[in-house]
Amino acid sequence: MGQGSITTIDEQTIRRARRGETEAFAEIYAAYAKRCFNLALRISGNRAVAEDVVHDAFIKVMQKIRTYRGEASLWSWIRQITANTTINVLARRKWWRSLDALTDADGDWSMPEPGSSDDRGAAEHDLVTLLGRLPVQARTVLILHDMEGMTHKEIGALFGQTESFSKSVLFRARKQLESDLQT
Amino acid sequence: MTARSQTSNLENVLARLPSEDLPDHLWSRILETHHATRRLRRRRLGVGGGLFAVIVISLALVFRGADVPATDRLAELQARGQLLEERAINYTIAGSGLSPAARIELGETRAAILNLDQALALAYAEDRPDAEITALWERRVELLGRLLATYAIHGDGAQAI
Repeated sequence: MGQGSITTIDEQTIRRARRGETEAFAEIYAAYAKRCFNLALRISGNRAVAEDVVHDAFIKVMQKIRTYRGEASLWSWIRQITANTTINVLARRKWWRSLDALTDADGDWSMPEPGSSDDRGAAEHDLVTLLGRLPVQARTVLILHDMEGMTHKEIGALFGQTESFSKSVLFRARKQLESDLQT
Repeated sequence: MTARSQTSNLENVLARLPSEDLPDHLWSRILETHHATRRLRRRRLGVGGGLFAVIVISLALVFRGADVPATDRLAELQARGQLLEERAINYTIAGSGLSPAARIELGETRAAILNLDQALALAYAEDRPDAEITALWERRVELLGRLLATYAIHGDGAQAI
């Protein structure tokens, strides 16, 4: 099955998925699974975890597609499920730590660095390395906000918190990165 | 490096993180789990369907006793459904008085009610929105009404106790 092409899923396919047609789900999977996988991989830095996330997230998508009302894009809806599932999977694996533990990294983050040192500045490589050292909760907020473009309100809701919570975690995460870069 | 350029730099780096491919077997694994879950759910529904009807009737009785406000559409439908169901149960039909067509119609309506009970059980299990559950209850009341009408029209010798 092809993966990762950014395809727009039309209303007809969504209607077929609501009726439970497996082929329609296969199309949705082909369009979005790779993005889900990479989102989970960037947060967890672990392929096995990311696979579990995609598995659990798509089971939820198949079970809940009838509750999708088209108010946001299908990708926004699936991304929300993926982020939520990632948090749950990491919590199950006890990777989640208190927000106060911002100086300790959780889990086993081993994301490869982008590009080669030929065309990337040293600061960028430092940032990637330091990103891996961030606690998974702070990294989650950072990736969801800065990379996925989710709002603080959406991120706060994922954690059962307010948007101030998300702003605070993001601020502290960036602060830590800056501080680590200067040392 | 300023905070602003630092943030911008970070966003650039994040955007350049490599994108990796999914393992090919993942979709078949998802489908297997999905089908297994559906099979399990159907089995549970089969067992739970009868129990659900009893629970629904009991809940309707409790709601009626608790004097649920008339504005609560769902509670109102449940109470109406309960009333119609009691009337349907209390109908006695002289079997010989029913035409084959009437028996088929009754059978179809009863089957539709059973299917609806399963759909309601699933809706409650999946914590579906009230609007969806209300629509199912509306359909249930409608079917119970049809059941009673069939008794009344075709049930030669039928009587309400």
